[in-house]
Amino acid sequence: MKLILIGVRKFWTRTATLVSILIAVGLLCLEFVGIAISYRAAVSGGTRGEGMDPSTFSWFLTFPGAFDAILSIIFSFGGIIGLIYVATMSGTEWSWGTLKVAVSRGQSRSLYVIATFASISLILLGGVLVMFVTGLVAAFVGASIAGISAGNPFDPAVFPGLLAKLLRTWIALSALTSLAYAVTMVAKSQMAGVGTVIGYFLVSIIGPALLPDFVKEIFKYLPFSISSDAIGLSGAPGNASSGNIIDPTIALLITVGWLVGLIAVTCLSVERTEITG
Amino acid sequence: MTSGATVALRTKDLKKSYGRQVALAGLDLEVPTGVVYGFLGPNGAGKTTTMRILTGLIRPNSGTISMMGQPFDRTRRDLLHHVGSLIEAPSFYPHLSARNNLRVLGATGLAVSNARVEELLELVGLRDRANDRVSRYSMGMKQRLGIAVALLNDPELLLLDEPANGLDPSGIVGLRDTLKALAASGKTVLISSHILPEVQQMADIVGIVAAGRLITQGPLDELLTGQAIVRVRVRPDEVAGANAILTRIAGESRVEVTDPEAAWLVAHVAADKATDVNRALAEAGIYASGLEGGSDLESLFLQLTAPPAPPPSAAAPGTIPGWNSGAAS
Repeated sequence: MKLILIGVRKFWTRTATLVSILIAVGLLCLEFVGIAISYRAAVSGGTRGEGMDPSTFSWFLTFPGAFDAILSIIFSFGGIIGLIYVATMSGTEWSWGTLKVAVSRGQSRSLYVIATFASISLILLGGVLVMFVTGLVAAFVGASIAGISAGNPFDPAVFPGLLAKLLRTWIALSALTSLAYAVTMVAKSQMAGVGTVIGYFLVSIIGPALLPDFVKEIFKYLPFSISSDAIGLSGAPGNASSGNIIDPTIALLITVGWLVGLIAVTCLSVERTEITG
Repeated sequence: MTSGATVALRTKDLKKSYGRQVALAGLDLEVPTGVVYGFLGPNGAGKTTTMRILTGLIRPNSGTISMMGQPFDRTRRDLLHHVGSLIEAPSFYPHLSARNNLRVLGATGLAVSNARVEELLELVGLRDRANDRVSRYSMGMKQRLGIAVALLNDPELLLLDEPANGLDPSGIVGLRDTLKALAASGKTVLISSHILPEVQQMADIVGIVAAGRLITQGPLDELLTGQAIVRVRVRPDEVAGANAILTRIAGESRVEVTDPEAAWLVAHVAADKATDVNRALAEAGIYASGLEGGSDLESLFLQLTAPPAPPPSAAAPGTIPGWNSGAAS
């Protein structure tokens, strides 16, 4: 436990942590402002808003739909930033030689791998919470720009489900970023981690549209798609691409399976690897 | 070598290869408890590989290791709780201060108290800069901090690879005093360094490796006694006469003419015989233009680790003499 808390301390104080959260928060705010502007354009019926359905945009700006919108943005923007962040954080354990120090002090390699990821995951939780709170404010600001009422975010009927979705978002992000962690630790290179996960992220978004059906079937169960489904978001009305492909509970179980499996592979690899340099 | 004394570290037939490159070809080390052991060898001799194996970073292909009387392998990493090490460059989190680095790194392995952290900051002279980010530290300050990390768990066995790297003179003196004090208190220090005069001042026992094997190992005094020399320079036309006089003092086959052109002769006698040599030459009417007695570790090291001289035609163009003995470590 001490190793995890110490890990949080060492990662939290890095400039990259603050920068990553600021970028994610900035993107989230931009998204809401953009949605608000699009809503106004759709309502006004000008050339810019032609063919746009205002209800799609109002769903993003009014609660409880805004909750799902915030979590969706956290997973997408937070996901890509999280992947890069995790690869960067874990890569420096090799490049700075601090893993070498820990091992030469008699620290169990597997425990160190698990504790380091747990620390990073807790930082991700912090990032999720910061983004979520910012998202609440951004939804209100967006609704204000759009000239509509955001509604009541503290509806007792919605709140318990919201906490569960927040928790699922954190688990989904952790599972997704465990891929970056595994690649970086196995390859002993943050460049390899960053490159691989960005490539994977892009393929996950573009690939299913271009690839044959049987490959699409496989993609459904890979970390990006399955973690997205695990959050259990309802999706905006009129958006054909939103919503879940796999049942959220099953998706959550598979997501946790990915998380555990990737960390186990990382442990096995680090246990066996020779630490030189 | 150590009959009666306890052994802090012993390796038996330790072998390690990286692909076809043989780093260790059967290393047998024996480091008694409570000494400073100078672990010497040219570049690529296998010193760093040995250190990495001893700290569990890499595994040997074969051979056995015992630390503090217990066999050490990947199932006994707990033994490393009693080992401190500084291997190659010191490693830190550059965004953290020295104090926080010691706390963070001290959280691995055996837990370390804050009081111990403060004690070490004082010992290595970093207390005044303890809250500065390590990224702002000079190389010497990082080295001091690296030594502090090695001492975190008050180790029984300390493994230091070039610990004097980048240290200023006061840092070197401090390091020497600290290591001697540790050995005097019953701890064992294995130090690898290329600064041989420094090792000579610190080490009780020396082991010299080359090409992955131990060439010699023993108390420094004994090794140097057997290697004592007196070097004499005379006029070229007096070499034969000087050779006869030196042979009379040193004995048959104990005198070499190492440089006939410059007329340098070397007699294998105790360094304190230099006065006798000078007197005998003067009485014979031969006045030395150069005379020095010595038994330095550097001479011993060079003699033991020198590769066989290649024929002149085999020398690569541009090769600097003496730079062709290393491989990779």
